[in-house]
Amino acid sequence: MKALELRTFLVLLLFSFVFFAADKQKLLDPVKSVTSIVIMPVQYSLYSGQQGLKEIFSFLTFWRSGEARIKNLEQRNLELISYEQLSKTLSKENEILRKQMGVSQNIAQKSLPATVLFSGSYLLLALGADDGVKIGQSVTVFDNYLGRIIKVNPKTSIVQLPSDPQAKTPVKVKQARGLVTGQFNFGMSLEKIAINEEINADDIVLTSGEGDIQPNLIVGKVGKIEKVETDLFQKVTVLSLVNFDELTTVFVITP
Amino acid sequence: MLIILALLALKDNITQLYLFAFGLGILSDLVMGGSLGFSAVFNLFFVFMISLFKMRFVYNFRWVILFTVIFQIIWLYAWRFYF
Repeated sequence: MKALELRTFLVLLLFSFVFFAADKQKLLDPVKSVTSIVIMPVQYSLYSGQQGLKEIFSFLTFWRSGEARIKNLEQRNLELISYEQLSKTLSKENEILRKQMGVSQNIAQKSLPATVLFSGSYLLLALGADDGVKIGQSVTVFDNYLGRIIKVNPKTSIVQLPSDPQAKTPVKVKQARGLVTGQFNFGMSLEKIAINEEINADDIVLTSGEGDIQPNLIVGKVGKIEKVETDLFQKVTVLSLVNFDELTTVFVITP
Repeated sequence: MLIILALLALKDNITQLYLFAFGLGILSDLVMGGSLGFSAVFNLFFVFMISLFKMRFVYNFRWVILFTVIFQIIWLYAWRFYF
């Protein structure tokens, strides 16, 4: 067993389990708090460096699709200007109706800005328990739902993305309600949508407000729809509108 | 991380490899924000399996790739417990 060095293996394994158990009981939080002073700047530098490199090499892909994307964006911009005017008119009418009926506005929720230290299968944020972050809080950017907090360290927190297979996000599309589940790195799928529900490609998918997630946050848009008449539910893929690799600052919604 | 450990296992000093696996695991957990000790346990088992293999067979570059791929697949399933 000398070739295996069993004693070394068992001692180190025991230490690892002790660390794991202590971390689960939050006994190592003071140590993690101190080490994060050194580690967080390194994490941030690595992530910024990665973003910088992506930007430098982005011109290699841009020259092929860039012109088409610019034209598409200009057209969308024109559409959004007209929607903006409509939205302003509706807001004014809404405000007048509220005053007439004596109904107050929803309580505005506080949101904390957080720097992204890592973006991959999850997000690592430079905001933790010391800043008031709690497990279960939603993370957004420009009204787009990015996920929810699943682990909180003293100075950092982990965000589970909607594309994570463990994540189940209650959503609504037009009148239909369903559940968005992640498909590893292959996007998201919308489940429990009845076969007779009218859904079209590019329809916006919003959070429904169930499951302690704020309502009306944008999860994505409908991509491919597969309908088989003999099935109870239709298969819908959901495409995210957010490029998670380019996130630098996000917002944690706190009550 | 696994590929580095698999390549270092081509050398003969298993004690150093265990210590390196442990240290690298703890450091990666601190940097990635996951449960401290989880990656260390995973890395130690990875190195242990390679050393068991080396007792009986010749360990070369072909086995580096195979071990790394197998444990990477296991990590995809174990990952749900990381946080």
